[in-house]
Amino acid sequence: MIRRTLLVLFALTAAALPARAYQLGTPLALLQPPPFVGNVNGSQIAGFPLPVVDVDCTKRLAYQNGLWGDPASFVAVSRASVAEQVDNSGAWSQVATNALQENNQGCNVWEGRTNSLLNSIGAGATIGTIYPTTYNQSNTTGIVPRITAVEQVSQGINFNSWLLSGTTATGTQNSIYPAQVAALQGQTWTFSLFYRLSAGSLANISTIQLGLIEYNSSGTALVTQQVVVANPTLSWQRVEFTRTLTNASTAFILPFLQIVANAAPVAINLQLDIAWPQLELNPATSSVASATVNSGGTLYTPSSSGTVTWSGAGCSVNPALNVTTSSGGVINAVTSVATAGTCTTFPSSSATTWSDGTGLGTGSGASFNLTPTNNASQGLATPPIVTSGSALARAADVLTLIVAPPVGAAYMLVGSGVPNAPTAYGNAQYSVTISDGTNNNRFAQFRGSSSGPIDVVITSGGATQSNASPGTVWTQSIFGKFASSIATNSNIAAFDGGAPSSVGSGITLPINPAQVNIGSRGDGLAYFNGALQRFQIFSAAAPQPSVLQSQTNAIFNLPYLLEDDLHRSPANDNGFVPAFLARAA
Amino acid sequence: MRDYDPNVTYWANMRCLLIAAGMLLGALLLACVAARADTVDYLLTYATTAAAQADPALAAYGSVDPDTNAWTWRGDVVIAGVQVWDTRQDVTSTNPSPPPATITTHTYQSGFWMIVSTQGRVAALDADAATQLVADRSMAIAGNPGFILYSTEPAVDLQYFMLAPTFADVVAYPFGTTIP
Repeated sequence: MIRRTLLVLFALTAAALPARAYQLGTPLALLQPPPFVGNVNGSQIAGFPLPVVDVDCTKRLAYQNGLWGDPASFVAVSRASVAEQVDNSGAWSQVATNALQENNQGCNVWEGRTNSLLNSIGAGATIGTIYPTTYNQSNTTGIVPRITAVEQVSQGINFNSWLLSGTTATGTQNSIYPAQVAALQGQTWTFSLFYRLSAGSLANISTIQLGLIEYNSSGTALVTQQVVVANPTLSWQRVEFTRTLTNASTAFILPFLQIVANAAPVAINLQLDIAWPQLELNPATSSVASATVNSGGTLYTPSSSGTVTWSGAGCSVNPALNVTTSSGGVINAVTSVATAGTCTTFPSSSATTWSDGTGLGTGSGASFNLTPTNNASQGLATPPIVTSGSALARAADVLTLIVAPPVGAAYMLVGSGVPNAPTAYGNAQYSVTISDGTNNNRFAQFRGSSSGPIDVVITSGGATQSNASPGTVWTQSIFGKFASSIATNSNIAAFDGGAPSSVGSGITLPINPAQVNIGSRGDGLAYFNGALQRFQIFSAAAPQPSVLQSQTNAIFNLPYLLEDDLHRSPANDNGFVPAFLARAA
Repeated sequence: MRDYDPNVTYWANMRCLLIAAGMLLGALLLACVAARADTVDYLLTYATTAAAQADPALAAYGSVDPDTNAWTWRGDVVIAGVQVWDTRQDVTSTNPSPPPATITTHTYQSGFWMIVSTQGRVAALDADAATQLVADRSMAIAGNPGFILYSTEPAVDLQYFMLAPTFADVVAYPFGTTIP
């Protein structure tokens, strides 16, 4: 009787497994690959093997080595913080520490950032004119904003409602300030917030602007810069503003949202829902655009010229300046910037850590006012980091396959996604990397820095190998599809159905390619900063160069067409998963 | 044909039950082992960033970026450049420029501070002289008051001990920043 009961229990458990496996993400063994793997109708691409790994993040389906399940079952995540992700409907949700960010946008991979604003949920406000803690306002209109709804939530977004209503008296401006933050010259900051028009209208409103004010350590305003942003609509939208700080005395910055009315007197009446303000420091490095003498120092060789080089901290490449000296041995002019340098912390104007070069003798004490290059084009607001009393950091996403597939002597990466960094971004953004866990042995597909070109890197034994370079620009926020194959002395790569780029020599395979990173390099850096939708790895019988050459179209185009079928066909969207579950059961 | 022996059947059933119970226990143990890897945050301090980069205990947490030739910490587990201060040294002033605002200025501790987050304790970091504080974030989230595993600060001073930023998580540490 007991044995029979146990058998019944086991049978019931086994029967429940397929459904639970899908819900819980536990991989399920299959006798043959499920239909989404590399094809739709069960027919294999002619002359081409099925992928050994196929992860479709948007569908939350993954296949590897005879197992299928949720991508989270196959992908390990290292991220020492929670993260916020948004789906196609615009709804935000929080993902737990070390959990995969996946939804119908894809698998999201972002670099680490900090929201320096302490109170992005806007806590502490009450109906009336008690604003959220750390927030302030100023106006020249004579209209004092009123809080009309506190700590609301819509589509997962925390917000307060701010009402501006009345007839302007003299000026045109109403500004709202979320908090002041310590900052330095040369840093590139991005201020962003969500807002929508929840009542009233934009009648008599001229523009809406975001800006940053630079202050010195005494609290005196030095520089104000702002930009007009998109007007609020009835739906949530995120607006942002990036600025490289220019003043050598900057010690703080104050971000603001400014509502500018038409010339007074005019009647205005608008209610803005304001949410999740975020002030984040971009990782852009600064260089010297120009320089002037702050203090000429003493005892330099009189009436001479030479070079001074920065020797303090903060620069991986030290800036150098061509200077001249007066008859009294004082540096009196900067004639040009000899080396622009690369600095994470810009040399301050008071720093005298400048080494004098040939022609200047053994003087000392000179300091310089440096103007940083403007890196605003590299800035971007990353997903919200929700704060309620502390400056908080979202850690970067490092995604690796839990079990790397054996890739053999020839293999291929195929994938797709949407990168969100500007093409001018200063760091490369890796989509898929097969490596030994370091940069010494790797085969990787990435979006290059500075202009966003699609590129490939191959390293073997620490030596850089020849590689194909499609070079096509992968535009910010635009869906793109990439593929690249590797074999000894062969690398072919293509992007978005364009003509493949190929090299036929100078390639030794990476040693021990036992780690697959999704959205980063093998060392867990250089993040994709966006959503990877699908990626596949073809192995073992993967194409030899001759096969690649003869079937270029099929290899580079067909998987995408199939992917498009899966992603975009309403018929497949409506019926794919249930049919698949039925087949598995 | 074998005769029916109720004792044999009983022990066969018991063996079956024991095996099932063993499997269940094993599964539970495995689950517990997997769940026991608490998230632990180490706060470390160095005189300079170069000193931190040279610390062998941190070799797994940063490297020279081959693309930029600059030292880069692992963004998934490291916050570099954490600011640390004692609230008893805070100075409050009024901003002379518009908008008028009360500003709290902190006196930051000198040196280079960083947080390294790990899954479970790491012996090399436990033994590192640079380690100033070790906190078990999982315990803090669970409301366990014993989440501070090690601190060079006397317990009485921890209430004044502030640092920013910390990793975003469900529950912030009580020694993180507070709204001034």
